[in-house]
Amino acid sequence: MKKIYLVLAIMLVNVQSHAQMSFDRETAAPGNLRFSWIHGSQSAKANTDVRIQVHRYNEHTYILRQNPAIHWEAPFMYLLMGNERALLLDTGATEEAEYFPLREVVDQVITRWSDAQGIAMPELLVLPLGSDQSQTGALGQFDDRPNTVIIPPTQASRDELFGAGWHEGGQLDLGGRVLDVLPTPGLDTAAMSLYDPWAQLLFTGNAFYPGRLVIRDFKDYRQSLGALVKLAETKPVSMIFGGRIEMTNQPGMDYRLRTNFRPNEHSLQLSARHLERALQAVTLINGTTDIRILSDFILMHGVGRGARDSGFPVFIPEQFRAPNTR
Amino acid sequence: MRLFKHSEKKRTIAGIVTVASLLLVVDVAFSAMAPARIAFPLDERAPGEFPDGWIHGSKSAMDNDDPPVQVHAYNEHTYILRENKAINYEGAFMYLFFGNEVAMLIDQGSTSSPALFPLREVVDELIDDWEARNGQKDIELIVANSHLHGDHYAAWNQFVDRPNTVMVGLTHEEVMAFWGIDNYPQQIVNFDLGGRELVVTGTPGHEGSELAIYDGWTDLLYTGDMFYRGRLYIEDWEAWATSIQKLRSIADQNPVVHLVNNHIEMTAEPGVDYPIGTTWQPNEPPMQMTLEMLDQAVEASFEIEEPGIYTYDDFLIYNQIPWGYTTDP
Repeated sequence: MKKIYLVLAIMLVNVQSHAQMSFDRETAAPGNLRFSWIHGSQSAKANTDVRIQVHRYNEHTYILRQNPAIHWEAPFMYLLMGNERALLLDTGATEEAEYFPLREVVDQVITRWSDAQGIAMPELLVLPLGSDQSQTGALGQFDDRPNTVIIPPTQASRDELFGAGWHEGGQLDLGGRVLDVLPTPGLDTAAMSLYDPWAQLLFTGNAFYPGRLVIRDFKDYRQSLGALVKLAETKPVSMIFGGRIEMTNQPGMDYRLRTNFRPNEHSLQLSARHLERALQAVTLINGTTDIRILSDFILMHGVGRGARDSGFPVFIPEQFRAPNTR
Repeated sequence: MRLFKHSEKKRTIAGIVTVASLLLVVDVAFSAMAPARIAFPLDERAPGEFPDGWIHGSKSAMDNDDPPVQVHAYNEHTYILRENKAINYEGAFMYLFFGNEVAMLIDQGSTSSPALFPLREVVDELIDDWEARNGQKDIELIVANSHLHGDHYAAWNQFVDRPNTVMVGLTHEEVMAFWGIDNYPQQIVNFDLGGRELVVTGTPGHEGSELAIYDGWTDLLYTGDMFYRGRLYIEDWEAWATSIQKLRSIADQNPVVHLVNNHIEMTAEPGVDYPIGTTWQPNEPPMQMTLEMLDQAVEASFEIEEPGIYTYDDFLIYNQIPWGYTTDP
C-alpha cells in the first residue's frame, strides 16, 4: 500500500514539473504520417469505418478526417494543443452530431491530452479557415460548449481574436505555441491560413490542397499564393496540410465530385515546392478562362467545380479525362 | 424443406417413404388442378400502381437503413425494383415482367457484389412467390438489358449460375440475336413472353444497343436511359432524335398509360436536377412520365441543332456533353 502512495506522489511531482510545455525547438517537431486515411467504401451503406478518424501526428497535433460515407467531401480537421488553448481548425461537412459527432470526438481528444500532459483542460478555439460548407458544417455543435470561443469566418470575429491589422501579419498564441495567421482569399473570400513554427506546418484549409482549386477572384488568389510562397521562403515549412483531398494517386487525375469511395487518394500533405508550382501556373493563367492540370493539383479559372472532369468547356488532353464508366 | 430435415433426423425408411408418398400426392394434386393459363389481353388495360415515393438514399449514406433493393409490385405480374442510392448513387430501376412459365428481368443495377446488392436473392424470392401464387413452377428467367452500360448490368454476374435461366448477353450481337432483330434500330419486333405480348425496337442515341419495350397488357412504354426524368446524355444526336420520334409513333399506334424508365435525376422543382453523384434525393418527382413530356422531347428533337445543355421542366438534354461534366458552380 505504501508503495502505491509513493508512486502516486512521484507521479504528482512529475505532473507538477511538466505543467508548462516548451514549444521552442531548433528543428521541426517530428510527426508521423505512416498510415492510410479512411476513404469510404464501394457501398457507403455497408461502410464500417469510424465516423471520424483521429490521427495523432505528434503529441500536441491531431488530424481528424470525416468519413466519406457520411459526406463525400470527407474534409480534414486539425486540433492543435498549447498550454492554455486548444485550436480546432475547420468543423467538417455535416451538422448532425448523430451522424458526425465532432464535438464528442474533440472533447475526448482534449480530455485524454489534458490527462496525459497533466495540464488543466484548455480553452477551445473553434476556427473555420474558410466559409465553405465543408469547413463550417458542425460549427453549431460547439455553441453551448463551456470554455469555448467560436470564431465564425467573418472579418469582425477574426479581428477580435487576432487584433485589427492581422492582415499585415498576425499571431495567435495557444500558450507557448505561437502561430502566424494570414488571409489567403481567392478561392473563398473568407479563406485564411496558419503557420505553426513549432511543427513547421502550414495549414492552408481549402485555399491550397491536392484537389481542384477553383479560382473565384484571380488577383486575390495570385496575391495569396505569393504570400504563402514568401512565407515558405522565410520560414521552414516541412509540410502543408489542406482541408480536402480530391486528387488520385495518378498524376493529374482527380476523383469526380461526390465520389464517396476513393481507394487511391493522393497524400494529404503538400510541400513548399507545390506552392511555387501553383504560383507559376496561376501566373500563366493570367486571368483567362483556363484549366491547368498539374500532377498534384488542378487550377481552374472562369469555370465551375464540375468542369474539370471531362474537358468541357476547356480543352483537356485525353490522358487527363476521367474514363466513362456509364 | 422442413419435411426433409425431419426425415433425415429420424433416419428411418418409414420416414423416407412417408415423405416420398406425400410429395407424390402433392405432385399429383398439382397436376390434377393445373392452373388456368394466365391471360394477358391487349384490349383492356391491366391496372397498376406506383408507390407514393421511392427509396431515395439518406443524408448520411452509412446510416441508411432502407433495403438494398426496393421491390414494388406495379401489379401482380409486373414488378419495379430500385437500387438503394446509399449503395450506388445511380439509384437505377430494374423491371421484372412475368408471363406464363417465364419471367424477364430487365437490367441488373449498378453493383456487382451480392453481399452489397443481393439482386439475385430478391429476384429468386419474387419468382418463388409468384410461382406459389400462380401455381406454376420452375419457370424460366430471362436476364435482359435495356442497354449496355455498366450501371445497368453490374449484377448480371449474379445470375450466370442460376438454373433455368437464359442470359441474353452483353454484346450488341447477342442482344439482337435474342430479340430477333436483324435490322437494328429500325426493326420493330413482337416478343411473346409467355402469352404477354411485348413490342421491342431499337432506340439508340444514348447508347448504341438500346431498346425500348412496349407492354400491350399494361400499356407501359419502357424507355430505359434514353428518356427519363434527368440528364439525357446523348452521344449521337441524330440517332436520339430518330429514336424519340419513333417512340412517339409507337405511342400513336398503341395506347400508352405511362412511360417508365431507369433513373430519377430531377428534383420536384421544374428544370432543377440533383447533380451527378447525389446519394440523397428527398424531393424526387415520380419516376413515370407522361405523353406530354414525350411530346416536348419530340419537339426538342426538331429544334436542337447544336451540342449543349438544354433545360426542360421534366428533363435536361445533355447533347454531346462529355459524361461526368457537372454544372456545379
